[in-house]
Amino acid sequence: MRIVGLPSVRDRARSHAGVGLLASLAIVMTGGLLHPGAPVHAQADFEGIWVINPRPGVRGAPSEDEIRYTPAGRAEWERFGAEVDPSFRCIMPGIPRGFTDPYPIEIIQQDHQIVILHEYYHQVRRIFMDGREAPDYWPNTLGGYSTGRWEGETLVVRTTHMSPDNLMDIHGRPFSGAADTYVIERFTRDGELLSRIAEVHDPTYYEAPFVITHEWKLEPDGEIWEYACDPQFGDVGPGGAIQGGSEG
Amino acid sequence: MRARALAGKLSPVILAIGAGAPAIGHHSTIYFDLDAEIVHENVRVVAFHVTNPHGVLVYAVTDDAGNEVVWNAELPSANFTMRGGIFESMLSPGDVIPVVVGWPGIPGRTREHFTRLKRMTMANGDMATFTITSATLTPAETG
Repeated sequence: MRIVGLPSVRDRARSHAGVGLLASLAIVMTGGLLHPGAPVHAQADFEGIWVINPRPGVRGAPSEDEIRYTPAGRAEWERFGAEVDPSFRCIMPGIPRGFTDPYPIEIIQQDHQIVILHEYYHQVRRIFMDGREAPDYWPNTLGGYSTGRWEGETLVVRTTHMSPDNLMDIHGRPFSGAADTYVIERFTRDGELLSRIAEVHDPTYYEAPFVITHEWKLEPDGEIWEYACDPQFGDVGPGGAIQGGSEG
Repeated sequence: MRARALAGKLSPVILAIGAGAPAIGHHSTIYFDLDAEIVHENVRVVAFHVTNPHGVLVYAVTDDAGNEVVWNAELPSANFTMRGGIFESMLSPGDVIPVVVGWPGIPGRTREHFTRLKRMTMANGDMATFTITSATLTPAETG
């Protein structure tokens, strides 16, 4: 069921001239208590701590021969190297680069949003479930802006406003972040398994949607650890020029 | 049969093992040859860091000419390494590691003398093994 016809966050923000941005942030931070949209009750339970389930058959990112680059996409891919790999500089992956994140996640479901807490870089991802749309002032970010709806027991998420500074995947394949890029994810639960199929639409760099699959298993005793990251790894890693240690 | 390098000498054996790439996408597949191995024996620890995004084992081997060459071996993240029971305190500069096996860096994609650590046999016989996203410490008595 999709909620339509609701007053947008933008209209409410503009009605408070001079504090429009703060008002919108306050609306989000208060958990949407002031938002006029009617939250949709969850159609499936995704709550809990989930760990990656690396069984054969979970494809992950497509293989190189499956990818259909545009000429611009291939040229950008050929320029990638370790010296520019953001994962060596502690830059969080966000969307879409984080779609093969192998670390535990914790999902918390509220009526107006679903929150995914990632161990990886402590990312916090909000999927708004109350029918809101991204405000006009919303910047492009590594995490983008995600809204969701239920199709039966499948959670369908659409993400826009992704940063052009990001990459498509952990291998470094390019992502344009152009205005026409968007992602559609479908989450389904089968017993103690949670699966996701993500389609990344980036016509600037790819002739077809970039499809990434992922699967987790519920881990009742799972733990979310701190992910303290040393950005100097970029200097000592594969593309660095400094030895990783010293005589001691 | 796999040939071993002379003890303490840099005659790394690069083997084609046909292990293949892991199912889960990881950048290691573009930096390292996951179908080969490089073996060093009786190496001297220069440094051992268990950090995120990756740890690093820095070690020295002596080549056939008697020159010391320093290698860097990338480990999984600290979060995965420590979950496997492997901690930075386990190795100190000057320690000798009898066997270090790594996936070789792909020329042109990684700098020289850089590998992805696959396993190492400690002086006490313990064996640390690594996948792209995990680590396991097997005590000597059960190895």
